[in-house]
Amino acid sequence: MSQVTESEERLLIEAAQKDPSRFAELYEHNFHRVYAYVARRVRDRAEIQDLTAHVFHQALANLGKFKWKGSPFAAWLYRIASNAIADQAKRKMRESSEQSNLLSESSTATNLEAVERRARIFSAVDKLPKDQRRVIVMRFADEKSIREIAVELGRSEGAVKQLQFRGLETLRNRLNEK
Amino acid sequence: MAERSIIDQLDDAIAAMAEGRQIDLANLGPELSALAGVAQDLIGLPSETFKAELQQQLIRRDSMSRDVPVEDMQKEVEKWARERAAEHADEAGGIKEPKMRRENRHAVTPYITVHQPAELIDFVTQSFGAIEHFRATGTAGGMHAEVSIGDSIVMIGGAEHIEPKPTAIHLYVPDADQAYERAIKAGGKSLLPVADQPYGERSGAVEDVHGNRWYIATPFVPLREIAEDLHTVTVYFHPIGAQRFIDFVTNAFAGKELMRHAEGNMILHAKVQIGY
Repeated sequence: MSQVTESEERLLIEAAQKDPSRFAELYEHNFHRVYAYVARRVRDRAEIQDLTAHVFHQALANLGKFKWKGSPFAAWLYRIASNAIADQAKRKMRESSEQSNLLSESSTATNLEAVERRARIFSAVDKLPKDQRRVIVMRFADEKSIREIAVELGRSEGAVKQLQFRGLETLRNRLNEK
Repeated sequence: MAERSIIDQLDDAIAAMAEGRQIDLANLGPELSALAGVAQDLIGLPSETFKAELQQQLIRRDSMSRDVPVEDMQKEVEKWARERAAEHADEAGGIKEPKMRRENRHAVTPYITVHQPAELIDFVTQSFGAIEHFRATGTAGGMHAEVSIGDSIVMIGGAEHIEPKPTAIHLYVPDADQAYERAIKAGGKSLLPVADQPYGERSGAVEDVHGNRWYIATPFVPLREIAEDLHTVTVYFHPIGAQRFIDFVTNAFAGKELMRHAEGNMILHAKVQIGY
């Protein structure tokens, strides 16, 4: 999630409205935000992925209707996400008496500051030193155990834990720089 | 007992979070608490594959009208099939690299017989990024050729004097819109324009000039949504009397019926697996 100024973002939106192939840039700037927003309210990884994909497909399909009114593009994406999450919750309640997998945070109360912080951390992982990044991705995105990572990388469990520790330290320091 | 190092304590906290247990960060001390806080935000870190695949899907929606060289498409189809197979192998704890090219034979390989096999090879190359691996003419004058599409082999043969045997193929491709568009440009006739289907695929259908039907599909959400029991190429039969046909393949070849969708006595769609 690279930071862009308001005017840069406006230019990106206008470019994508004229040429949808430019949507990739908007996607790159906003992927982690949308994912973090959805993950704040949905637990299951597969559902988070489905909803995130839905948000971007909707955004691409309706980009021509987007009108710049001064609020960030992310706010529009959050609104699409919020509606999609609410629709899914309604559908689930209709289809099943099982308890919804949605977290209790309501759409209006979603803590956007926490979402932005989480999105920044997700993005910062891409810029970690290679060894640290591999361990962090395997541990948190691929959900592997320390032992599995150690076997795959051919390193000791202690070395993997050390890299995990260093990776989190680097992320914390970068977060504090902002 | 020796006190556990901060590195081990942090990993204990991460393991607990991964299991969904609540951690009271305030009890961990300032250094550990700060790092565990970052780790807590990292739980559920998006998979890089998902991010990249979604981006590709979004770009594809717009790129279908662009002319992509056949060589690029061939590389893309192979890469996609390789990634897909690797992902499935990972999930199954199995091998990571799929067998490609001539090695990638499954239990069932379609054999399409047409009057002009060279034309059909050209069609599947231009439309679907097929790669030709073998071509020969037999003593009776008929051609036999083998091409791969993604993780599968398709055999193509025939000659002017040999009776054609058109078939239907279900095809997974990285970009259904692009493949459909190219198939039309290569002389195919549209049977069904590409559209999002309620069962999780974006798909359309084309009939080539030889009468073969190609159901071209891309799943909505990468990898997870791809039917794991389908290869890139799957033979699709349209028998009259589907029950008899299913009975035949299950009895003769130890086929296993995976699903069926029927209305009354009419079987609209069924999946039967034979071997791998």
